Amino acid sequence: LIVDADAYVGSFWPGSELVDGRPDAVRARLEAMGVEVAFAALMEGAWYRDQRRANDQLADMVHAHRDFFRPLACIDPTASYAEEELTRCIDALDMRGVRLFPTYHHYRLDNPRVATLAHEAGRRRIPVFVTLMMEEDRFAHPAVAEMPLDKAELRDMTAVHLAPGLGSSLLRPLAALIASAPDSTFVVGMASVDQAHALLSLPMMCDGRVFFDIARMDRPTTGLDMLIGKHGAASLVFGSHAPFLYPEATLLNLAYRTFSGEHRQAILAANWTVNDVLQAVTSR
Amino acid sequence: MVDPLSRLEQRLEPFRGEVVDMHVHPTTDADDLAGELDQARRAGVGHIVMSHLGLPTVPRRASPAQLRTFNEFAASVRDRHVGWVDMYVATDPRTGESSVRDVEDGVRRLGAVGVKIEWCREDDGSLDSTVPVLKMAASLGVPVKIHTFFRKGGEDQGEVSPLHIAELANRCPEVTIIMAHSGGDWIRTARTVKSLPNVCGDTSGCTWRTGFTEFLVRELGPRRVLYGSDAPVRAFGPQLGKIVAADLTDDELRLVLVDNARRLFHLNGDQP
Repeated sequence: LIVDADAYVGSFWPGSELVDGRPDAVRARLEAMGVEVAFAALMEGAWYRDQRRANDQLADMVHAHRDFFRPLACIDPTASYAEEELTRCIDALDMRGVRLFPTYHHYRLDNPRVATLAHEAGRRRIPVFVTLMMEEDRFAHPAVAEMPLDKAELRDMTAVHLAPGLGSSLLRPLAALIASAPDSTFVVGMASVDQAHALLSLPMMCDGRVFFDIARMDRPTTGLDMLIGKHGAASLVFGSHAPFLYPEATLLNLAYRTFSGEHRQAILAANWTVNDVLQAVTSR
Repeated sequence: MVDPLSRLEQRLEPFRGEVVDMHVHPTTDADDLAGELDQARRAGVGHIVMSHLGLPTVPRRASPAQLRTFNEFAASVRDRHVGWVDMYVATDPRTGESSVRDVEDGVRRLGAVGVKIEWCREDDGSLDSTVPVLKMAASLGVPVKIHTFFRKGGEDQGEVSPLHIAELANRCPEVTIIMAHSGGDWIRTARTVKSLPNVCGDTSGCTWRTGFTEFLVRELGPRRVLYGSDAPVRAFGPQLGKIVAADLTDDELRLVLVDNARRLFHLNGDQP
């Protein structure tokens, strides 16, 4: 069993005409490599101003695949109707989490409105998936500008060694959000090894409610080994970032490593069972 | 049930011990280097070709003395791993005529199997100083790998895009040029150099974006695409993964992972 925390379906992503986001195509590829459950958001959701439309579209797309996909609501927490939309997505559309795109919807994670939404998600016992980035900026379409990261953040992304510290315009607000919503469960997507290390070094991260997917944890070569050596694997989950990335390649990020098979199994699936919220939303 | 990871590893099994990773950098930290080489062995990489240039810690305008130090270090690593590690001679054409001499020395004395250039465009945009280096490489029978990028917002100072590679390939049709990272924006890159048979692309670095490998193989042909990882910047697993995950025939897979590098770098023992 593999649980995928970071999948997408959809029809269009600017500059990525080779990406096939049809639900049956994404499902077939993930199933072929052993994924049994995939948490999926609508890729266009990062662009829509009307997230209600995005959520309806996602619900339609995965309707025939609810045995496989667990849909994630796309909500801009700064919208006045954010909590109302969250309620609708949970109660009417049976969505299993909420995915935030702060770099696309252009808000800081320490905006009090984000904490309000996260608190409500915690009350409803669904996890908050935070997307730190969708694609490397240097490959993005020239017209695309994710919310800019500061220079310290860029240094984090290119560091070869684990570098503790939160010198980042994105990590400090994320840490503040997690602290301000103590009853909520978070799954952080596309964090680098250095970013995960920086956050996992904070004492508040040790309470079993913050997880990081491994979709971007390939650098440096032995970085994931070092991360698990320092913090264990209890806070890591598998995320393919399919269909943007070859999901098989993300899976091979767990191969040729020095950590144990138990750690690998924890990342692939077992960690979903040690957190009540994650276990509940994974089930049918 | 078969372990999903095992299924993927089985796809690589026919090439275990034969894979040539032609885009690796040696770290100077002994523990880091040991970890890097250990992961390469676990991944079944049978041959590595390495150069300092491209490490984030290396200055973008290294002095001739620094470049010679890099080359001597690479040679020392190679000498400790004879038959498994080979080296590029690292050079910067902007350092002047010494660059041409260093290439000759690197191939003849140090036994380099290729030339590595990272940044080479002069401040006025000229590529003139790069041409003699390429011609020397051609006379020595070794390929030249050049960091190449179509970068959003334009190239960095001194950086080379596939458009510059096309200019160089036309001015030096006798040399084989390998574009590191296949130019980043691989779609525009492949279209740019498709008609230039002396230009190849490597798959190193970058995230493993869906469609990347199939597109390169289809547009450039399977004999012009080479596997590389960019270790220690990147892990070996995902970089190999974007090759084995691609919809390629077994013959295409062998060319990309093994045979193209063996042919271009003369790793079968044949003389250039």
